[in-house]
Amino acid sequence: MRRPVWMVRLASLLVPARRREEWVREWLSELHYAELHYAAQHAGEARLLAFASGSFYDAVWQHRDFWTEDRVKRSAQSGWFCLASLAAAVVLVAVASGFLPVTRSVVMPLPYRDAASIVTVAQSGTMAIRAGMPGHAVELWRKKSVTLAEIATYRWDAESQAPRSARVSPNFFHLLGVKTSEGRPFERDAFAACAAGPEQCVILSYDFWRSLNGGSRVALDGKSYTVAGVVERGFWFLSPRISVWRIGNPSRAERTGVVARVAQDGSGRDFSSKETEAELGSILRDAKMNAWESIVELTSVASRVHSALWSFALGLGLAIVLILPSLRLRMPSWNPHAAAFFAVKTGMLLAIVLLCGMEFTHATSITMLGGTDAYTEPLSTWLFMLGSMGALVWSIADQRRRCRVCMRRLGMAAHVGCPGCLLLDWAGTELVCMEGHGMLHVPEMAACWQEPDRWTSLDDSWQELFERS
Amino acid sequence: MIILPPYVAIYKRIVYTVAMPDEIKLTHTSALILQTLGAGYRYGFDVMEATGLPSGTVYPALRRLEQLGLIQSTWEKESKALAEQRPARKYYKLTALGERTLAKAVQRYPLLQHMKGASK
Repeated sequence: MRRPVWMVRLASLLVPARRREEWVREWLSELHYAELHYAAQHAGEARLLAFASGSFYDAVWQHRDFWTEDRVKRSAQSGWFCLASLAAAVVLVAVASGFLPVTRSVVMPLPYRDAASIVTVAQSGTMAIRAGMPGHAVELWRKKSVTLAEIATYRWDAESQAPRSARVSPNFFHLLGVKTSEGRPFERDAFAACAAGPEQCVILSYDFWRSLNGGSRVALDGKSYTVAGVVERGFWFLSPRISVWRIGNPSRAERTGVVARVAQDGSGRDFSSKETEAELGSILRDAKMNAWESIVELTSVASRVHSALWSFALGLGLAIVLILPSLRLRMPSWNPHAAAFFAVKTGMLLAIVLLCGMEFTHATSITMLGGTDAYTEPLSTWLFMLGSMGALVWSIADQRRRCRVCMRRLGMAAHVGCPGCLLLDWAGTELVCMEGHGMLHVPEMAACWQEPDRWTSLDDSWQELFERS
Repeated sequence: MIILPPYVAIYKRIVYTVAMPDEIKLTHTSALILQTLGAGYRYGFDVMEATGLPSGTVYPALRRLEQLGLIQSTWEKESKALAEQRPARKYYKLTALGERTLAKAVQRYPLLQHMKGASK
C-alpha cells in the first residue's frame, strides 16, 4: 500500500504558511497510523486515499479559521485593500461597459482618411454648433470657397428615435474617406441619384447591419428605406450611437451641421483655420448676411472628440477650486509613501469617474450645452464635475483617517474629554493605528484658534500593547 | 495640548475588546466527537474510526473544538516515538470547559448517552 503523501503535501499549499509545518506533521503522522490500520484490516488502497483526501477539507477549513472576523476587518483597513478594491471597481466598469468602447473610440485614431484636415464649420458660439448653418450659406461656400476642398452636411434626427439616425449629404462618406464593409471606397456621386429621387436610401453602421442579419431594407420612423451600403466596421462620426445614415440634401432654409475637408495651398500645406474662417466669413458678408451671422468658427473633428477629456479636466479643475477652501488643508510633511498612496488612490477614483461619465452616457463630444446630443453630453459634464468633487473629498477624508506610516485605516475611536468644555480642556476623538504606529487626535470642533487633526507617533516601546496573539 | 495620556485610552480599548465567551452550543457531530474524546479516544484517526465520520469532518471539527477551548492538544514526546520507530502523535483531551459543555450537550442530544458506556 503506497502512502499518498503527495496528497497531503498538495493540500498543505492551501494552509496558511504559519500553520503549515505543524499541520503537515500531524497529517503525515495520522497517515502513517491509518496505513498500518488499513493494512492490518486488508482494506484497499482506496480507503487510504479517501482518508488522505480529507486533508483538503481540513486545509480549506484552516483558511476559514484563518479569515476570522477580526482578520477580515484588519485586512479591510489596509491600504492595499483600498487600492485593490478601487482596481476591482475599474475592472468592473470596464467589463460592464463592454470593454470601454467609447473610451477606445476617443483615444484611438479617428477612422477617416487624413483625419487632421477634417473640420466642422459653425457660426461662432457653443449654441450655434448644435443649431448648424443655413443651407444657402453652405451652397455659397460650395461655389466660392477655395480654402475648403469639399463640404458635406449632417443633421442628427430626433434623439428619442430608435435606432438613432442622422441625415447626411450624398458626399458625406466620400469626404471622410470611409470605405464600405467590403473595403471599397465610397464614390463622390454614388448617392446623388438616391438623394434626388423618390426612393430614399440609407447607409448602415456595420454592427447595426449585422444585427439585422444583413437585410436590404430597414424601417425607420414608420418609413421603409433601401439599404444602399454598409460602412466599414468601427466607423463613427461625433456620436458613436448613430446606426443609420439617411442620404438627403438639406433645403436652402434648413440649418444643418457642416463638415468639410480643408484644401491645400500652393505649397502643399493645409490652409490654416484663420485663413479659412476669414474666407468663409467674407463670402457670407458679400452675400449680405449680417455681421453677427458671418463670424465663422472652424473646429477640427479630432479636437471635438477629445473635448471629452478637456471637459473632464474642466470638471476636475472646478471641483478642486470648489472643495479646497472648504477642507482647511494644511501642507503635510513630505512622506513619499503617503503621497504615492494618495496619488494612486485618487487617480483610480478619477479614472472611475471619467470612464463612467463616458461609457454610461455614450458621449464622446462633450460640452456643457451638448454638441451632438442635448442630454447626455451636458449630463457627462456634470457627472465629471460632481464625480470629481466626490472622489476628491472622499480621497482626502480617507487619507486623513489613515496611519501616516502604514496607510492602514485608523480604528478604535474613543471620545476623550468633556464635550463642549473647549476653553481649558481638549475634547475630541482619538483614533489608533492597529499596528501601533501612532494616534490621531481629532478635535470635537473645528475652530480657527485650535489645532486641526494632530498625529502622535508611538515608538517601539508601545509595540507590546498592539501585539496579536 | 492633550492632557489625557494616550496609553489610558489604549488600555481602555483593549480591556473593552476582550469578550467573555457565551454559552457554547455544539452541533450533533461536534458533540459526538467531544463525547468520543471524553470516552478515551485520543487522536484524530482513533476518533474517526470510533465515530465512523470521514477524515474531512473529524479533523476540522477537532480544530474548531480546540479553538473554542473545549479540547486541548499535545504532541507526544519525540524521544518516545523515536524509540518505538514511529512518528509522534498529536493527542487531544477534554478541558474543564469541554467537560461542562459535553454534559450540557448530552442533555440536548440524549442519544449521545448510549456512547457513555462505550469507553475505550
